[in-house]
Amino acid sequence: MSARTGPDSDAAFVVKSLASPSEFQEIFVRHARTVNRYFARRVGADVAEELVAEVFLAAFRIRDRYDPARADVRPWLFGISSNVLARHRRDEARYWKMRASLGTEPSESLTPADEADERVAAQAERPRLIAALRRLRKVDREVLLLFAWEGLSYDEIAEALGIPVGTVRSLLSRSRRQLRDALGADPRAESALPTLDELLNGEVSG
Amino acid sequence: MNEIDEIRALDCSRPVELDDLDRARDRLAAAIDADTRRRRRHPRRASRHARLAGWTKRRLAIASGVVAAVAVMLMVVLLPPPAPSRQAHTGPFAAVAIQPAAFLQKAADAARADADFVPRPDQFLYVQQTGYQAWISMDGTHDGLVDNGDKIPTGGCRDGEQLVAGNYVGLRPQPCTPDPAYLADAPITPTSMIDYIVSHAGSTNPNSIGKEIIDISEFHYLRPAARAALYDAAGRLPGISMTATTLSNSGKPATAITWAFNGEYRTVLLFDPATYAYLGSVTAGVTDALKGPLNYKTGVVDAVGDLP
Repeated sequence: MSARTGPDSDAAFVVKSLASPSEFQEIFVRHARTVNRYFARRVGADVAEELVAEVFLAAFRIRDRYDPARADVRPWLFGISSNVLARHRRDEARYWKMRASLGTEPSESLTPADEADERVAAQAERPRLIAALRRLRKVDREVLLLFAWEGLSYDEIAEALGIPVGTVRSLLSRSRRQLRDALGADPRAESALPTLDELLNGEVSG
Repeated sequence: MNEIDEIRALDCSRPVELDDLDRARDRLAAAIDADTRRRRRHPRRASRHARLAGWTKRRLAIASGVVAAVAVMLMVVLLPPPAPSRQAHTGPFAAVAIQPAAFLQKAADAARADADFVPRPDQFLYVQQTGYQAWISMDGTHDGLVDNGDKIPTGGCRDGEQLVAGNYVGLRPQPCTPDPAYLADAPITPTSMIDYIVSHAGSTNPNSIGKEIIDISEFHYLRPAARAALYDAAGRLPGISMTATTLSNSGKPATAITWAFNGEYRTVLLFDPATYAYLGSVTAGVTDALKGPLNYKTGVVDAVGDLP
């Protein structure tokens, strides 16, 4: 997603909201659904909206810290979301446990029929994958899921979590390796991995 | 399928419509409404918010970079000094007798001894910290400037309107009340100063109080008696704590005053432990070392761009 720039950018509305608070509503209109999905993926849809409210209340409260040089507000919101999620670890743990207990139940999301075989294979791996994700360190899991589920680039993850880009690369590499180990080496999967150059150049958006 | 694809296949969330998030939206709207009402009651806080935009941006950039392995902060909690003997304030913090009071009393004494000077309305308060400069109109009606790398004009408030500018929004007129840098009405007794701080903070929350003290201290011109009252008052407020520290990249000792807060960052007022001179303030992560020098400088100048 390319960020809007100039007077229509997220940053412009955050800056305007410093003098005119109601302008911050536009940030909610643009990004509340994205933030909601982040939480729906992590703690389930039932709890998500409550946490969305926490994120936007926090963002509104600390909007004077926002760096207006960054046109796209999403990494900032994901950073706040990550902090909010950290305060709701029990909800997240409960959700992962529930997901694991569902075993091979099909996903609610729709998939094209021609992907059915791969889907079946993926469903069979689900308990092992979930178990592996649960075993990851919190920061490793956060980086991995921001990359895989939210589609953030390395730079955006670094900005969201306040860590160097190089650290994002190494954390992501490590967590992927741990997942591969947990799932068992698969030559097809190895061939689909980005090359080192791609990783270093940040050319892989996920 | 690689592991990233497999993780994506785990995603069973569904997109929602904005209407499905009404409760969250209502909570935000209520917070915005409360903020707007508070601004009407305390217009000075509103303009502070705009002024802090560049200031906090710079600070947090510094704070987020404070990870150097050599940065060893020597945070030594000082032994509590004897409780202040002066009569306690009878307002909302009447029962408070806190540790840093004695130190801040000495800082107050030092401030009181500074040369007295009444600025002209057309002059500017100059404030500098590392990476940040500001020229703030003494009477709030003249156009000032914040320079944090970007040059951000701060319009003077004239005839109830000021031009609010940003890199992205251009110049737009906004209703305003003048926010003078020179607080001619600032109290000169600690008791009255506490009431003044609480009134402008709009809250008795220690974090709000602390921010208000920083705002008054750094972005306003106080004559010596008022500045002394500010430091003295700060020592009587609840939730304030004091530590002896060494600024990580200069090795200079400093006395750090901070307050109870909830969050990942803390803002700290720094004083010279020998002369009690105010060194500026810094925002850092809770566990981060405090970096210095801050290059804090302030003074009264005749025009934007002038240096003291």
